[in-house]
Amino acid sequence: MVDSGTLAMLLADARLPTGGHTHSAGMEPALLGGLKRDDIPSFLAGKTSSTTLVEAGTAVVARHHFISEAAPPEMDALIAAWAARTPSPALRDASRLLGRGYTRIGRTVWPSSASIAFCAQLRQPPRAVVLGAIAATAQMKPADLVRLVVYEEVQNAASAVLKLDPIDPATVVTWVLNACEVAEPFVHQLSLITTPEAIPALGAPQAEGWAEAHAVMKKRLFRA
Amino acid sequence: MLENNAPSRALRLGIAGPVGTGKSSLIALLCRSLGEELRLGVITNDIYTDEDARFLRSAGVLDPERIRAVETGACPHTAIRDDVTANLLAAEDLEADFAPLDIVIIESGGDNLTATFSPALVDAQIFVLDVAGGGDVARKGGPGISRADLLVVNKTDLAPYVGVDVEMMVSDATHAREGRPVVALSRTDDNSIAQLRLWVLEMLAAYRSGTHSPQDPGPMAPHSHLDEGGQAVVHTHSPSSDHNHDHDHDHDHPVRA
Repeated sequence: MVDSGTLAMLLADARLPTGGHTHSAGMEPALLGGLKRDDIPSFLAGKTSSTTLVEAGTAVVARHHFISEAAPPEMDALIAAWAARTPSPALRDASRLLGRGYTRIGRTVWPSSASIAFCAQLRQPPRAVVLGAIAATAQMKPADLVRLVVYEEVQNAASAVLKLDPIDPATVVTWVLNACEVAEPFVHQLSLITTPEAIPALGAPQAEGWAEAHAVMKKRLFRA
Repeated sequence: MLENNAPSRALRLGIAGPVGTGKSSLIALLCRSLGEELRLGVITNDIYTDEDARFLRSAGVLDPERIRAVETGACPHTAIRDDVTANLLAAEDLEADFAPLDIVIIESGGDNLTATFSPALVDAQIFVLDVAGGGDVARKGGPGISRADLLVVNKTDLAPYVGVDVEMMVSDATHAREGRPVVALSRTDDNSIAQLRLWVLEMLAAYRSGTHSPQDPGPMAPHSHLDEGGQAVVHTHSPSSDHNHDHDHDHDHPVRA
């Protein structure tokens, strides 16, 4: 069995072919919506203390459900809880595309996993649910799962900056670490949750509005 | 999830080639000449999402709903080779929404001579050059020129204006391709359009009968060395292990990653 930390590195690696390079984790919507470069670090820190925790919490509960072999209605309730906390249809669609990307990889890497097979049956599984299924299958620790979601989200957004408003890539690395640090105080508590009710109900209406506006724009580099 | 030999899904046909060689126009031509008898869908990969999709929709050659643009995160090369996920999902969705389709055409964002489709995404691919890009491009070779299922030398009607000898260019290309097919295409030349149409129909038939297996032209750049007569020979290596050379001296073969 591969160590939990190694698995987190694999899943966070931009070279993993899941379609992640076509997403900007809300960065293109934000910049096209008027976010100024000076505010990008605050935007990233805002993400990791709000909507990213919704994603991470959903992944942790999904992992718990898969390990405890929860009945399908419980998974439905979990997905409904995630959707209720993710009011932007554009962001839900983006998450479901990423979920399908991870499912494709998961089916190949862990072909006998019932959890990942369940995700494939869902057809449009949210990313957080699929990551929970992979974590359950490969025995990834819940705290590593939380940090994976946080890192993925921030790194995805930050690397999109290099395509959208190019600056010294080294500067962006600092932003990534700082935003991850903002989430760190939440990691332990979040890693312990087991029910949908415990998933943080934090929204980011401005970012959600930007995502909706972006979804109908004609010229985009990124999906969302 | 794996397809067996008798495929149930549409043929996925990739169209690659450098910027401005006429990939979108070629697709419009395919839709016009095949749209009556085949059920087609198109996926475009533009740098700025939907420029090509809008061109095709406005050309009125296909129901606009059947033309979808996929974002590539400013990496069109990655989206057709290293991580084809976004295109695969779009192809699956297009097929599900308009089932049954005969061919899903996937247009790469114009890149350079080394950009070819992975067989993880397409069953067959056409590489497009044009005479205006220079008569020597075909001779330079590269994975797409040498090993795409079909090479199209486009805009042959422009040859007199850009000083290119089309016959020479096609002959160079045929040599670089070791006999694989080449079509010298002009949208004003019905005979050339008929050749293109026939190739697509034959490829579809071969795909359906299970006799065609997807080839990877490979990302590898061509290299050259001197032959016995001191002439420079440019060639590329096929990804297959049975590795035939039309020259008989020794040299080191780089190991493919």
